[in-house]
Amino acid sequence: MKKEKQPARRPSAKAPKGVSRRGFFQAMGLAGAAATTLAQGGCGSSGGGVDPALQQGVGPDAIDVALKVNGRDVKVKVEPRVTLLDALRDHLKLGSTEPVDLTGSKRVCDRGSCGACTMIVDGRTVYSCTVLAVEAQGRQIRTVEGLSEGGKLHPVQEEFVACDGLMCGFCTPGFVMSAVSCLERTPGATADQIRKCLDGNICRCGTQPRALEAVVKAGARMKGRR
Amino acid sequence: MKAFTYKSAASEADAVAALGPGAVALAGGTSLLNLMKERVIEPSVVVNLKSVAGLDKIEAAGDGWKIGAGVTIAALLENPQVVKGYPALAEALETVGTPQIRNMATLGGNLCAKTPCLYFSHDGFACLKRGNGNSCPAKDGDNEFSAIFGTVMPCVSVHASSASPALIALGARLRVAGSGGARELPVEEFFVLSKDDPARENVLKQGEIVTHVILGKPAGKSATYVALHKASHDWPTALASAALDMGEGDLVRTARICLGGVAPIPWRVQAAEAALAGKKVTPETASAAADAAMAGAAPLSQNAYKVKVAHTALKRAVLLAARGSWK
Amino acid sequence: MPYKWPEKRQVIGTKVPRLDGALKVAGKAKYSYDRNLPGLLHGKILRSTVAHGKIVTLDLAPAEAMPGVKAAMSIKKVGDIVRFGGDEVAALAAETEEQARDAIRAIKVAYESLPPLASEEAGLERNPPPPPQTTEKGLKIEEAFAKATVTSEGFYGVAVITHVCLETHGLVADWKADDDLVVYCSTQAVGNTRNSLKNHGPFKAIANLKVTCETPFMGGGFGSKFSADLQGTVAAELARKAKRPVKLMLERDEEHWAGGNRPSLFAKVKAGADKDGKLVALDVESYGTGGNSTGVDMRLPYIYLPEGHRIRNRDVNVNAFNKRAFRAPGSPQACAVMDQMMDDLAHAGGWDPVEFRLKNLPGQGNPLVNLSPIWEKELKMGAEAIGWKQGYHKRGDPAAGPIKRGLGCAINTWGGGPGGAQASCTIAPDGSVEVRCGTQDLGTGTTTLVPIVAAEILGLEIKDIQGKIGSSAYPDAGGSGGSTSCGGVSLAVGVACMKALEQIFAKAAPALDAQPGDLEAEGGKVYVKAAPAKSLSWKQACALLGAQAITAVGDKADKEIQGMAASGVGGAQFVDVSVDVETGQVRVNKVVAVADCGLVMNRLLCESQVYGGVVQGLSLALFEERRLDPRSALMLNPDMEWYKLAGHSDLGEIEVHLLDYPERGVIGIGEPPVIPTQAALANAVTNAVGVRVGVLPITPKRVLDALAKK
Repeated sequence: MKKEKQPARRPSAKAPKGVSRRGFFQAMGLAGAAATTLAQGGCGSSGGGVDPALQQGVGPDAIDVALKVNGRDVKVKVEPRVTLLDALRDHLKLGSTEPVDLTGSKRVCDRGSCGACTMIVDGRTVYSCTVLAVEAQGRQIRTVEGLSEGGKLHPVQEEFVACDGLMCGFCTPGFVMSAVSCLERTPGATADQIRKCLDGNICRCGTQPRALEAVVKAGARMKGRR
Repeated sequence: MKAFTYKSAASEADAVAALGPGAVALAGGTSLLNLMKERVIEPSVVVNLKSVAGLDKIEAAGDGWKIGAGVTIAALLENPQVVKGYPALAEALETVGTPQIRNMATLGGNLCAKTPCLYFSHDGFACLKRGNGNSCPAKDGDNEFSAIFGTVMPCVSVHASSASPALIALGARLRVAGSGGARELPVEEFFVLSKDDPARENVLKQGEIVTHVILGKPAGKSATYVALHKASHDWPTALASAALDMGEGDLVRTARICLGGVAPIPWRVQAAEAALAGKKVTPETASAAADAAMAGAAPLSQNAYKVKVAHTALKRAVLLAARGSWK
Repeated sequence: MPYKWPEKRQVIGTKVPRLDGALKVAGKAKYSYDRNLPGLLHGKILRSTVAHGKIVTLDLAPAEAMPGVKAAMSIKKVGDIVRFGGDEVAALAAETEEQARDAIRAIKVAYESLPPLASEEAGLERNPPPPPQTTEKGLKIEEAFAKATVTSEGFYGVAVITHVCLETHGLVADWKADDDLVVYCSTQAVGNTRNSLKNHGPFKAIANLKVTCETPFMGGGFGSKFSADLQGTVAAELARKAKRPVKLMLERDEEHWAGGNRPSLFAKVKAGADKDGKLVALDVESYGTGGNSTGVDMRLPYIYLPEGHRIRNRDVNVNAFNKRAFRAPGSPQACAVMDQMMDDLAHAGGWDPVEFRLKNLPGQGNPLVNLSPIWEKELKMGAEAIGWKQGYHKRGDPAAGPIKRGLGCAINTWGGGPGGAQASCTIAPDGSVEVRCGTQDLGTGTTTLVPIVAAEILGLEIKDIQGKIGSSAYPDAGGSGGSTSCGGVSLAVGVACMKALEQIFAKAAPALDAQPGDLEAEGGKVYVKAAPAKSLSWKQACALLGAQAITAVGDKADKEIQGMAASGVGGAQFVDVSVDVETGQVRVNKVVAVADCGLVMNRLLCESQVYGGVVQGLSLALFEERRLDPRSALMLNPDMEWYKLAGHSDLGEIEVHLLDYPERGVIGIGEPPVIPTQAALANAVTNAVGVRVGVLPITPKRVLDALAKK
């Protein structure tokens, strides 16, 4: 993970001056005033030109898809309808040059509602069940496995264990990814901001109170290290 | 999901050319892929619009802003000019989906998304809008979340877009590109309520795409109030966007008010606008404007409660716009 | 000497982070869903698209000809009846999941529709109507009401909810040989899952069939996962046919349709109290559904016992999947009826709801009488923590403006206690300890519990123990349900370790010039109680075993245990809400949960169970409801969007207080904390808005409709 770049911009945690914040929504991860015109897209907005093959059209049969996952190049052979989540969970070892088994991200709702499949793509959390693998080419994809490469857990992961922010653990990788992204984009995030960051993740066991506690503690640790 | 051919469009022309019969446009995917998994939509070609050069930009245009249809909700919320200049839009966008959805979903996708109606969005039901049924199953079925306006129409779904009421209230325009070139139209005219074609919510023809939203000069006061059941993430029970042009003595010169989540398309309520014209905004006048709007409501068997919610949303949006607080 | 827990406990009752936590947070824990075996095929099930009908066509041939399909089978045949939307009809396995989905759609199937029952009300009206089951106890109901000076009437209810296990039901079936099946199953009962496969019709004839269920991790069960289930046996059949491993995990909609649900309960209630505020009479006319052939789990009257009561219940069938046990079966529903009734009766009599409950706690003649002092303590603690004295007002917040605040409470009980369980403890001459127990960890922390108990008994540290659970190859320990795992497993492991330790003591005693009964194991040493300086290190003591490791087996059925476990807990919860009476939206400000579970084994994880119960309870109270289309009876929200589940911003502050009663032994905490949240929240909402909102979940529609009727 060390090799992977941090998100290009580290947005200020403060809301721009004069911005009215009337709703429940607290300003978080807001881009600084410098980001005037160029929107940094989430999953998808294009950086350079379009691959002529993709422009021409691929599929419906399986095609080679090259993905950059946790800083490594992997290849999968999948149909265009296969999601990024399914490609990494189920198809990776079939076509990969480097056999890795990325089943840490879970498929729970498969409809972009629960967050168990959360990955960080180009510095933003996405529901990987709702991204096509073919659209994820050329993007920097981070999965939960990437957080602890080399065996050392990320502070967020350590605090999840210490605070018992997990029970059955099936939602946990998704929560961890949302939390990591939250703290990367909004260092020093408040508990209210973290709560909002985690609203896209559902837990059935009821770990939310302690997951929140874990992320608050991890945030304090990460900030202290800077 | 049915297997399909995937194309990445490099330009508007490319996209338009690729969007032939059987093709659909893919933006953030947060709505489309679900419908494809449910087999509600079974395209043979999926055209990725996010690769179209320039669609992800927010650019100054005259006194206002030209926003690419591919700009994500998150990016818009991080743009201080948009947030400051158009509070009604920002307040609507804040309640769209979850952090992950806001990172993925685009403004263009929000305008064009299909209804979240329980019947339409799940496989297994014969549905007029989906095109596999002769009547609307929600009408005398489970209509707790269905429309309260426009219910004389054959389909009683509610429109998915939370941004559109704000854009309509703000008088925004859209740029639409097609094989015959590009055109601009007010957002309000983009949406159509068709008795004959319940599948349709907007004027887009085969091969046409929304490329930009054009916001005029930030002016007046605006706000959106969104009523939710679940605070963490939900479809609005009802929402209202209001934009007020204030004259002398704190009197409303003109108001533009539009409701969301209450009709098959965003529902502009001119009766409420007229009720406010020339008045000072107070809890009483705001409530009277909401009364005027709700006079047109025709709830279904199970959703009379939504009239109350929409009334509240409208009243609070007007108060928020005028006074910065509804309380 | 009977076995008992040590007086001075070093490990039990401390806060031990879960031992498999690191694997889970790193995404390295392999759940059933994550098992990608070499040659794996993906199984899918064809499910009925009508909720009630007769199969008139079923042809698998077109599917068998589809790309990638390696095996197909029918589950039902032409002429069979389907009884719910999503009923299983046929299944197949293919090389990829996408191919399996395509092939399922190629199966030719047609149904002759039969009229479906889509709601409890429709079920009540069918011809003939379901017969009532009546229980009457104590005074005749008229005599009981004759004693009442205050009465109240109300309608209370709880909708059907589904379990929504995040890891769906299902398994990966791998035939190692013709008579050797290994399954990786998402189950809360590895032993019973094995048995259900061994006893599965088509497999019964296989001579010497060996079945092993491996479940080191599983993603939630809540009462719905006690066997291989139909999808499990189907996967095993497909795998046998294809001679390749098959993964068949349900998709989310299937999980809603056929993964499990909790019965509804709706009750028209009349209750009476005498002038002293004693509950004297209760008359309930209720109905509810447990699916197409089962009813409610009736637990009324719950806790409070009037002088006379009559319960008339009708079990109603609808065309939906049958119920499964859900966290404290029957109790949350009964509590929602009973504790709302208590609130309404207190309101009618002008009594403070907490005082009214205190006055009506079980007395002599009520089997729960022994728990009353616990409830008394809990109600007082909870009232203090929520700020009852300052915050409680009579029904209807007098504050101006549309945001109304209210407080509510409810109490609960549950049995728990030790379930049947066995464990083995093996101690090797090098001092290593392995404890095996055929239990499983649902997220409750059993993986961590086993070494806690072993370390305590053997006087070692947790890291010194190899705990092995999650396999049917280990000594049978029963399913994890009814809050009985903690008790059963603790006893079995404890007794196994005590027996093993006796053998170590027997070897060590001569070396220490003492009797085995004089020895103690603590702090990594075996020493003479009366002369602690006379000691051996654990390793030295174990070395005395010679070449052979020893193994002892513990069974919770061993008679010689004393005070190690019990059953029966009391709990109380208080909820503080704000309700927007113009939008119907409820905001939870705070929940206080006071819970009792006897001897706390792992304080950290025990608290998590209580947090979890409250969170789940809030989600159920505010959001969750299975919606069936009134015409077709097909489920309208088989997803995680319209089947609404609480997220972080919906929860408010949650405060957990654990009561410690070590002298009672282990009881279990899984189910009880989910029971009272719904009733407490409904009471808080009612206290805020001034009218009873009696049916859960409390949606904007229900709040505004209730206010409109005011």
